[in-house]
Amino acid sequence: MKAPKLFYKPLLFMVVLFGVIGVVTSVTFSNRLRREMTREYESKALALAQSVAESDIVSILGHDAGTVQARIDQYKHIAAVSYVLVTDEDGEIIAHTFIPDVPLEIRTLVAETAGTLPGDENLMRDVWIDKEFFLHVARPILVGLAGYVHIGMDTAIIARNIHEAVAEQQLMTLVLFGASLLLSFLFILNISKPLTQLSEYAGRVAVNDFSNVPDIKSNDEIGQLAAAMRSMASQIFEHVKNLEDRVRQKTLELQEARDALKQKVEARTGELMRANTQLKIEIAERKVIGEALRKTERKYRAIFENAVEGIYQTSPSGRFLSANPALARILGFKGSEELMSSIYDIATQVYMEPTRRNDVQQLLEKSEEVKNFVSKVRKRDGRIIWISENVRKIANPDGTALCYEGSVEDITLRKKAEDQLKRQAFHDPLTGLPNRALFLDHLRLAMERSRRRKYMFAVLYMDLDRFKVVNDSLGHETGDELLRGVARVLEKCGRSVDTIARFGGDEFAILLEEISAPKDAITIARRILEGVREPFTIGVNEVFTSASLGIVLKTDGYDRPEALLRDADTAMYRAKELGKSRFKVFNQKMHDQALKLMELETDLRRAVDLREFEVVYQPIVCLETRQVCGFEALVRWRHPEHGIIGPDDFISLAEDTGLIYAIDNLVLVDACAQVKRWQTVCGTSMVDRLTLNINISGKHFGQNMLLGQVTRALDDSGLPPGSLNIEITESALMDNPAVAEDMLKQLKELGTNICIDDFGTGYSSLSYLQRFPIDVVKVDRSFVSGVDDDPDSQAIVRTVFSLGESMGLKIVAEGVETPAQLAFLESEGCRYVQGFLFYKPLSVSAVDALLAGISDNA
Amino acid sequence: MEHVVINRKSLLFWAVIAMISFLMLQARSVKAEETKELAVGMSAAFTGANGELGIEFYRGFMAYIENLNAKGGVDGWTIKVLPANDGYNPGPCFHNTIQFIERDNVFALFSYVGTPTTTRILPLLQKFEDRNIFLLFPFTGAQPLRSQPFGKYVYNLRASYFDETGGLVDRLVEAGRTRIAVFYQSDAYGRTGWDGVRRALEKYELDVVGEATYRRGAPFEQDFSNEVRHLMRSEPEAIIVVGTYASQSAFIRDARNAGFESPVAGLSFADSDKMLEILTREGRRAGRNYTNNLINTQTVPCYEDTSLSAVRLYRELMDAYKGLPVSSGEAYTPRRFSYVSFEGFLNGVLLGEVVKRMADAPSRDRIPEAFASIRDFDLGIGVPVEFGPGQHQGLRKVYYTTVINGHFQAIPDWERWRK
Repeated sequence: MKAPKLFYKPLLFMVVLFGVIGVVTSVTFSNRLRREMTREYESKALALAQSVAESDIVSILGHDAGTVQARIDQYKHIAAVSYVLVTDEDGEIIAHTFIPDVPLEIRTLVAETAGTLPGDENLMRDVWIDKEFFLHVARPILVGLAGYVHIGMDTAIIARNIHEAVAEQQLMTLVLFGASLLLSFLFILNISKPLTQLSEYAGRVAVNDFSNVPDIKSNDEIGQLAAAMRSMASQIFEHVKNLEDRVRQKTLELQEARDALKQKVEARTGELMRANTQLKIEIAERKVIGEALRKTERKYRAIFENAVEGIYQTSPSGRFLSANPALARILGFKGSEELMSSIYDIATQVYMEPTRRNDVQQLLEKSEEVKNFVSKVRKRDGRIIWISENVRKIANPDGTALCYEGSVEDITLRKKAEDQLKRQAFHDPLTGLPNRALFLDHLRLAMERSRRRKYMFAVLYMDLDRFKVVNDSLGHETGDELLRGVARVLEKCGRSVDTIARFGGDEFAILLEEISAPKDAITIARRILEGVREPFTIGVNEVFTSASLGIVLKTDGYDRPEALLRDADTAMYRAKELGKSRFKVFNQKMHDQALKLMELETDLRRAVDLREFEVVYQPIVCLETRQVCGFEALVRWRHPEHGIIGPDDFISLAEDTGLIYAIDNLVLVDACAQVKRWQTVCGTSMVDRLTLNINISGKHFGQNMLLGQVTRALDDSGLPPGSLNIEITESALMDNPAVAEDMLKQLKELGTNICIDDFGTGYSSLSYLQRFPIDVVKVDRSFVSGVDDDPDSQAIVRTVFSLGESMGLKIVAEGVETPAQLAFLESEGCRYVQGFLFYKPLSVSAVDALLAGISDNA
Repeated sequence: MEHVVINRKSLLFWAVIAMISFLMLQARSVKAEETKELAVGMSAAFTGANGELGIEFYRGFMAYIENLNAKGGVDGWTIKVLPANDGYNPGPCFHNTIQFIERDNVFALFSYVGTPTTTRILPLLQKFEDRNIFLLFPFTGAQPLRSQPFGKYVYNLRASYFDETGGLVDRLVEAGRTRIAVFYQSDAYGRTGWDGVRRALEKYELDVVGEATYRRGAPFEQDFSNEVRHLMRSEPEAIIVVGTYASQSAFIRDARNAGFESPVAGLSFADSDKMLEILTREGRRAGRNYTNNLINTQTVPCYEDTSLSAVRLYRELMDAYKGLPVSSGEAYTPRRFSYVSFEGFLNGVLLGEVVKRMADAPSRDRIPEAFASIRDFDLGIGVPVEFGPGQHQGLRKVYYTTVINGHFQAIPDWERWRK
């Protein structure tokens, strides 16, 4: 059974109460017991002592220790008696019960007692022996005359008794406590039981359970409480019943309403579910699409972000709508955000020229797109760079610009490279001066200007005299240094508006712009000449040089700048001809000559096209037989207006214009075919002796095509290669000995022979005769014509013959015109001659006739 | 109330013995009228620490009395001894005595053993003075039995403890050993012995140099080394022990173990034969000799002295006697001869003589008369028994013995202990 809570307080109270009672009674009881027992023991001890003292007087008086001992032995067995001791009147111990011996304390006490204890009194004292407490009583025997009795009571027994008594007492208290506890418990249970019932009932009422009304019938307060509760409960019951009815009714109504609502909700829920499903599908689709979009967006974003080109979108007002990191980088910003937040007017903040943006916008009005729109822009740190833009307009349907999209490329480096290239293209790397192209450009501009308004300018053409000597003697580096020095002189002499150019080699040209009068140009020319004449210190050397200048003052009337320049060149040559270190102004006469030359050139071209050339053959006579043994082919130009023109008048022009190749080839092909024919005509007798000498220009000799032309001509004509002698001049050999040697070797391989024309006029070195595979040497006509009266010429001719003999060369003397000359030549051992003395150059028909005659003769 | 230390077995004994005694007495009292039998009561220790003493004593006189009865008694009167065990405790002895007197109506109390027990019953003798109850030849030398107010009810054969102790002291002092200590039993016996020593020394104006007591009933196993040390502090030249064979042998063992080699003297009550047996056994066990310098007084001559007629008779009868006072519950082997049984034998002889002297009509009231007639009576021990009118002490001779050839024999020369 669970103890009612009401019981706890009484329990506590009783515990305390009984505790206090127990302690207090124990203390008081034990004290009283101690007192009583002590008193009892005292009296007991006294009685015993008395008994010993009075019953055994005889034995004691007789000091009969054994009897006394027997007597006191009996007392020892009396409860609480610890020891008994009997002495005589002097304190001598007659008998005692101590084992093994009388303790010192007792001995002392006994000795004291013997003398001091008055006859009818008792000594009572507490004694400690070996930590034990004794009540010691001494009693005189016969007023102390017979002796004394000492008895010790063991107080440990008293203590034990007290202990037992207290334990008993406390046990009693405990039993009482238990009994009281039980009683009070039952009593309180009696009270608490109806209260518990009532409280349980109240609890039930709280949950509307009005049944099982507790039946408590008593007249006390609990009974009243129960009655009150009953009536209260019945009232509450009424109320509750009433309320419940109403609630039930309302609940019913609500139920109906709820059911209706539930149906609606269910229907609506169904719809919503379907819609929800639909939405879910849509969401899923959108998710997929969104994911795809995001992917694409990411892809393009990545491209956008990582593009090397700057990509942007700008508003028409001049703000960046978006920009990629590359653009920010190009413009010197840390990131796109910084760029977009910093720039609010692109036109003024980005472009160097604020109108550039306007330009673009205007361009975009015309076309959708502008490409490679190059502008200078300012970077954030102020540096200026070049950019190239591709811009596109995003427009509304009505055409107004929504925004502009574009990409930007930093082309500063490219621009620089272009400038560099441009500069390299238009400047001479050695001197830093403009080159021919730029000069011509400037010249063209000047010419245009002069055509538009009255504008005077002049052109100077300059060539250093003796530059080749400097170059050869002091080396190319010195030559280059000299050229640079000259360039500086020219720059010093010219004005800022003037264009001073180097055309290559030692040729310079100066364009003097905006001169007021021709004398200005003359002044400058003089200054130049003087400046150039000054010595140049190059390394340790002082180099002297001079220049020749050609000046064109009358610059109007030219269509092409090349022509103007050519005239200046012409004037310069003229100056050189006149003795160098001077200038010559181009005049009308020079102009006319030039004009004439130009006409000739034109005619020559046409002549090549129209094959206006014909070949004549000067026979070469073998002196032994006085018979023709070969021909030298010579070219003649049959000009439609000027008649026959000799090679001296057009070969140099042909060389200059490059027409010489065609002309040479023409002669080669014709001559080979012709000589072959003649060889055939002449039959076997002459076949091997009839040779052909062909003159090849020095310029042509350096060309590889020559070999092919010779081969083809030989193949086409069928002429034996051994019949063909290629005539070249000494200078042609020596201009480029390496190339010449190679060429000679190949020609020799073809089987042709090599003939040196005009021997003795060129370089005096004869070593080349040994070096090159030369077959024939032609003694120049100037020596031949001099043999009549000039001993020097005689000596030269003699030497040449002896040389040719010793070296196994075939020597041909040309230009033999007199019999005296012939005689000398013959005397000197000449075997082959050529000259008017025998034959002039003959046409084909004349040769045919000649050969016919020979044949006939033969 | 008495605190009697009796184990359960002895209680059982008691009951059996009481029953048997009762039945026998019933039978005898009826028979007495016809067969002329005289019953004497004997209360003694047959068990416990002093048990063998009682048994030996009993065997001694029963050897003679059996023989006497077998030969037809004293003029037709046979003597019946009723033994009762008191375990050497005064309480049981007191009860035994009352039963002997009131129930058994004994002829006399005979051969009680022990001082504390016999001193306790002395008042009873006075109480039953009108019935003439006398205590004959108790085995004790205590003084209360020999002095007023109870000495008149007791007839002692053996010399008193005072005699024994006095003689011992005389001889020790004579040997130069004046520093004498006493180890004694804490009761009337021990205190009497002590008193005897004290009184003897007083004559020489000496005092007991040291004393220690022990509780009665101490077995041989008890450790007395504390007591030995206590006594040794007084540097004694000799120690007189007033105790039983168990306590005395235990004390000797501990004293010798503690290095005390001077003489240790004991009294006749200590049953020197038993003591010697114990010490010899202990000596063998411990590998040493505990029997040197031991002195023991005896109140009878040596049983080896066959020149004496009593000794010869004693030896003859003892060899023939096989009885025991009680059935043997404890490990006990009867000794062939001993001082104790010899003294008992002499008691029997004297009892026979007393009966003989009033054989015509033996009655309790004639006992003093019979004793008064015994003067210069030859008991066969070389010295006469001297009673006479008012004389209650038969012998005063004390024999001094020491261990010779494994027996306590008369000391030939005291000089060996001279100091």
